[in-house]
Amino acid sequence: MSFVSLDFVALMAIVYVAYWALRGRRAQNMLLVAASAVFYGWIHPWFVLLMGFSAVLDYTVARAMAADPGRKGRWLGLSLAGNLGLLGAFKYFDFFAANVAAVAGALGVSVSPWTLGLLLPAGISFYTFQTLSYTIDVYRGRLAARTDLLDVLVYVGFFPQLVAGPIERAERLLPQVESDRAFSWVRTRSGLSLALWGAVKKVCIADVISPYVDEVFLVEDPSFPMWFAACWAFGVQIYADFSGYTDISRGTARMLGFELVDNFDRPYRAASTPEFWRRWHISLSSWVGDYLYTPLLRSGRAGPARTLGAILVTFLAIGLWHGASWNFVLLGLYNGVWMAFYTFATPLVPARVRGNPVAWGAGVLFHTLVVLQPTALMFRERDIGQIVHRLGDVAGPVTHEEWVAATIVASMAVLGSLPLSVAHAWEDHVLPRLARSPLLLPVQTTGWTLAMIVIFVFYRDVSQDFVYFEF
Amino acid sequence: MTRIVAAALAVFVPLAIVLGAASQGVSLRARPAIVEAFEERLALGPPEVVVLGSSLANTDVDEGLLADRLGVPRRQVVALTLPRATAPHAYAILRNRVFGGGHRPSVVLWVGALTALATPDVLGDEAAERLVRQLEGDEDVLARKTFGLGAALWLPVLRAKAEASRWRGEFVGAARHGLVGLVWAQDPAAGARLEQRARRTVLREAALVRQRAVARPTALGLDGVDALDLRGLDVARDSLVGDLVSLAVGGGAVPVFVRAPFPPTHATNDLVPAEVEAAVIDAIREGGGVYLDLRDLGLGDDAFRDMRHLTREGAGRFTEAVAEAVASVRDGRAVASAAPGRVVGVDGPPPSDPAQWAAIARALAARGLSDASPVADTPSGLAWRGPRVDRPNHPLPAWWLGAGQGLIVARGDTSEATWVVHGRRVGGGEAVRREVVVRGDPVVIPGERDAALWVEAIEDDRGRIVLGDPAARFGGAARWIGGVHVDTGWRLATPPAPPDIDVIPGVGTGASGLPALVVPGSFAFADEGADRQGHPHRCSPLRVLEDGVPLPRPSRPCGIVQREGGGASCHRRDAVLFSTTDGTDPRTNGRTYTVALDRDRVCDRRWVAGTSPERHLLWVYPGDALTLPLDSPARERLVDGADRIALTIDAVTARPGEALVWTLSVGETVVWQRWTVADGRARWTVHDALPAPLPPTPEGVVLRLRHADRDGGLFRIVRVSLGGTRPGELVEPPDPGGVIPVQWTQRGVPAALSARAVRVAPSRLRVDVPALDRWDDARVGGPWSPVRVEADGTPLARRDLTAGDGFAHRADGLLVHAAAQPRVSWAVSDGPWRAPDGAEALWILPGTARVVAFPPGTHGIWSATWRTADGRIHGAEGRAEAGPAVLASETLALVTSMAVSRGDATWTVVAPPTPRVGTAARRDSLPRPPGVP
Repeated sequence: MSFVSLDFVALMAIVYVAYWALRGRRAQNMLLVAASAVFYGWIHPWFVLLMGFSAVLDYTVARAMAADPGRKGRWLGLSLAGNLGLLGAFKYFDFFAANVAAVAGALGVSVSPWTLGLLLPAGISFYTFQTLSYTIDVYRGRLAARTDLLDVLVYVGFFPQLVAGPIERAERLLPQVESDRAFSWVRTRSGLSLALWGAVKKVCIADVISPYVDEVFLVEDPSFPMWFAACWAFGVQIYADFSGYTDISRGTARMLGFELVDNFDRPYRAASTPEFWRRWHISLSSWVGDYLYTPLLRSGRAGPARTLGAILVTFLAIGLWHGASWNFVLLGLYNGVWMAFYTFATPLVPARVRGNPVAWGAGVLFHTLVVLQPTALMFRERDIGQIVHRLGDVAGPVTHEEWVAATIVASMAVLGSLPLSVAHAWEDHVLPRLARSPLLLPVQTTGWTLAMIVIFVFYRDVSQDFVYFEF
Repeated sequence: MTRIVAAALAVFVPLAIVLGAASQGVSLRARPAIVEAFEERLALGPPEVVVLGSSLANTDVDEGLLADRLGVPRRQVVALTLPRATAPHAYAILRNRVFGGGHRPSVVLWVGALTALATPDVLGDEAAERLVRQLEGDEDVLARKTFGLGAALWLPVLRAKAEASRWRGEFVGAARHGLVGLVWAQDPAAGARLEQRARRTVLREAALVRQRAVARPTALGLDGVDALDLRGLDVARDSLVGDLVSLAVGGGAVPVFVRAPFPPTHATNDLVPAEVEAAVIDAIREGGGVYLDLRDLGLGDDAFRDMRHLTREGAGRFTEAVAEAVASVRDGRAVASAAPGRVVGVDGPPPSDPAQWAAIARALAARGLSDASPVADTPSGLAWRGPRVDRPNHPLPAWWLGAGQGLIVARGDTSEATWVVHGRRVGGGEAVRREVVVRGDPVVIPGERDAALWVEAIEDDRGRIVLGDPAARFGGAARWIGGVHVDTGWRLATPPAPPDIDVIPGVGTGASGLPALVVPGSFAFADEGADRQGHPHRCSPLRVLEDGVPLPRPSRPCGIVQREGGGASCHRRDAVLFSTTDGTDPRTNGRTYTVALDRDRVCDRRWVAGTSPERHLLWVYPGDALTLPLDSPARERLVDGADRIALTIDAVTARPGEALVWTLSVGETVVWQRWTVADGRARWTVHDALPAPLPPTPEGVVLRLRHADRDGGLFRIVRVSLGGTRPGELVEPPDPGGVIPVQWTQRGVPAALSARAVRVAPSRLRVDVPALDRWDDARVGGPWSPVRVEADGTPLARRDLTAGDGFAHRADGLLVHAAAQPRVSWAVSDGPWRAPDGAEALWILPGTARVVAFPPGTHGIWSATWRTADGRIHGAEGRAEAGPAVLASETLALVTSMAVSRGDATWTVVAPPTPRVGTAARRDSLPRPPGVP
């Protein structure tokens, strides 16, 4: 079920009223599980079974670890095998099989790729990581195994963040699931504002830019300014899309009494790759940081080689997390290389230079124009030959029409960026003052009304799914 | 107090905004502009014929021509079309604009894809908005079938939404135009014009080029709207077809639904499940409408301006056919189908059950489908259409039958008859003849397992063309004909894509001002894709020369040739695209442009993702022979000598049917020879035993390679090995140090041609033989040809794959292949000729007659049939005792059967015409480009 559909509005309205009408945390949790099943099963009913299997598996494994601490490792292995096995089967098997067949073909052995052809369950990467964090934390002793299956089901399947995150840690969300929630009018207003703003970002910015980007990527051989502008616009689109989803997710959760982590911290103000990944999809980067990068860094002998290896492996995993195709592998390695570059090069830069606003601005500019645009290209273009060709053909001649075409797309990026920038300014300068003012209420109701009108005006029936739904 | 004021503001400010928006910003105009335009157009009438449909109807129907053919004033043929319109649009326009406006046309004509007619849905937001603008108040049918909700409740919302969408488009457009205009013209008002031009030249058209290149089987919507999927559609319940028919009939008009053609390479743009198609046709006919399928008008890709829409010329031909149908309707005559039988693909399980066949037969009969009618019935699932397509270098269209596929045919009656399928292997051109006994039940005629076929015709046992040239139909005994995979079981066949899918139409002068010209012709290089963007082997040897000087930027991506200018060029199989060095129009700048092959072309060693640097790639032209010396010291390790040979070669560009000749020699003595025909696989491997062991010591052991067929290709030698029984296999990698030790012992003669010529055929001579008309080897099966060719007085063999010299008898003349440059003479002589299978045939030379005398005492009725190049079958009969039979023809004809009802006739040539002899001049004697000897 898409967040920007009447189906979801109806579901949310029913759940919201029933949720606060129910007395007692347990009844509310049961409602949440039912709502999550409806929300997730709306796409395909059997998806619910898959998610339920993951939740029950990890609930059982965690209980077994608590009961038999001496065999914690084996139980963790079972959880990893089960969850990552499902992820592998649904997401990576066909990719692997096709490449094995291709390699065999290159060696002169004709092999028909044996593929499963399974439909990728929406959000499987998100809830797999989420549920894994529970068992890993129990294994590490940072979290006690839960005795109530209902709580674990709510944690794994909490519908506001089920299909596209943020990837919540058990130690953060489970306590909220297990606590009593009290109705708060202030939280409801705040949540509604956040959710509507998220919908505006998706409908009025991301979906408006998307056709222009698609148009360029349909062209057989776009010139450098065209694909560069398209990558820029795609950067704005995907930020509006993904952060819009996150805002809706956080907003609806807040209306139900939950507080989810923020996934974004103005990522395009980053001056380096490490900073970018601290600001972009924070819940994913912190997850792989805690559960993959740090353990890798602590294994073996310390030194630059180990750091480099840990970085590259981590970013390869991030790339593959996004999708089973070579462009994402390239994306991961590309970012890993830049991450390594910044990691090793930053200490060499004097502190006074690093603190200089001009140098910071230059860093942002360099990172945005030079580092990020190829990232966007690798994200959007699935054909690796095209990626290589475009990156290698930046100096070709450009006609006047191509410059105009690039300007069309770039102007959409500018138009899309404007409301995002205004929102940031509003958040920094107006909202803090307004928060304690009696005018907050009329400002909110006016904002809701305007948001609904512009959503009505900009909404298109054939609007794109959220980009991150496919992960 | 402050809280009260705040609460009041919280209620009233939003309320004011909502009311303001409702009364001002989101108010509907009373009459949308498009409605007014339609009504004005109708008012010019009164309309006699109303044309409905999408942009297809707009471009494919020539209103003026239709009016002329129908004999009505131009204003009485009214086209009310909308972009991306589907059945709901047609219904709304017919109901509210035509009949609602009091107009009473006699014919309502829908033109478009069947998918668009069958679907109750609209294709995207913009189409939905266009539909909403056509609605008037109570719209029960559309509310139920299209919107799925109560119209009374939702219509105001839908209208508001349509208006809001218009406002959104204007807002975003104005902002974008302003920025573009400011940047490029310092004038915000100029933005729209600049955008329009840029979109047309570098976005939309380039995207179309990419889609053509990809040639996907489904339509690619530029607006992100996927092709319609009608599987599972319940036509009676969900579709608007029945409603449209009843609406039209109720208004006193005859509804005529015309299924529009698509380009052969995009025939699958209109995929409709068989059961849906049948249900739609049923609904139309049962309601009193007329259904006409005009997909097989024989329109090639050239007749289309893009993947869907016809050119002006194509629209003329289409409109003629439509006009004929409409005229029939108006005159109360039955509408004859303009389409012959066609190839239909089938998915689902094999209909091996006779009951299933019987059900199919009943379904056909119930629908009143006469013999050779267009049939798209399939046992289940989707069906693709395989229209006949024009073949390169061949005047006759044919059906493409992929490797491993077969045909299903069934006969109208249940008696037994033997049919013959005539085809040719793709690439090699060998004639293929299949005989099959057919009855009422469909039978499968297998094609070739390892090669694609061009299926040219099916003959019945009396020599009549059952399916082939529509003009030669004799009662059409074929009930239906379908394509199936016969070796892998029944399944949805991939739409059969002939190899010639990548033809770029003439572009002319680019909008950017840089001229670019497509030279239409037949560059029959076997290098399909060699110049395509992303192809790892972009190393085509083709060069465009400007006044004899090669253009400086060869092998550029076709997508950028036009904008790059400065002498860029690219080519695809059937076209060369280039820009001149100074940006002038090559058609008018007075220079001569020629195309030539660069024999020294080597491939760039460029790194392409997923591949290794290209090293072993070689272009081999016809007539070329390359030599791989195998004098390696390592061979001495084969104590008993080599007794077997293994070759592995990647045929990068080979098409099925192309042949390579391998010869292993010691000195001048050939010790082993073999030829290999490409079968569609990328890699060929040859393992063979040598006739006699090759001693380990002699020097001068060479492996020679000749490209014996077609027009050259790109190959990669992977491995050559000689093996012996002791001590084991010896492998001689051809490229131990990164360089293939190739010695060219013979080079083909690169050819040049002017931009107006139509063929690049190195070392070949083309001779015009007008008397041969359209006959060629393809029609007569090679050995039956009456043509004989001599080179310097020596008879030349018909094309022989293992020999260098030979000739082929083609539709456009003789193609003589000779390494030297002999004086060629040709002659056409009469037969009778005896075919390899023992059958005899008799030629009737143009303007002459054959007189066949019967032996004394022969009694009975003689009958004879003969075929002319246009596919027509002629016949004559008489009594044998009355005297000799006289068979006369104004054009070259082939007598295919002659018999006497009692006893066999003996053919006696009474007055044999004298063979005529002519001579030929070389046609490839144009000046050679620099660098080409």
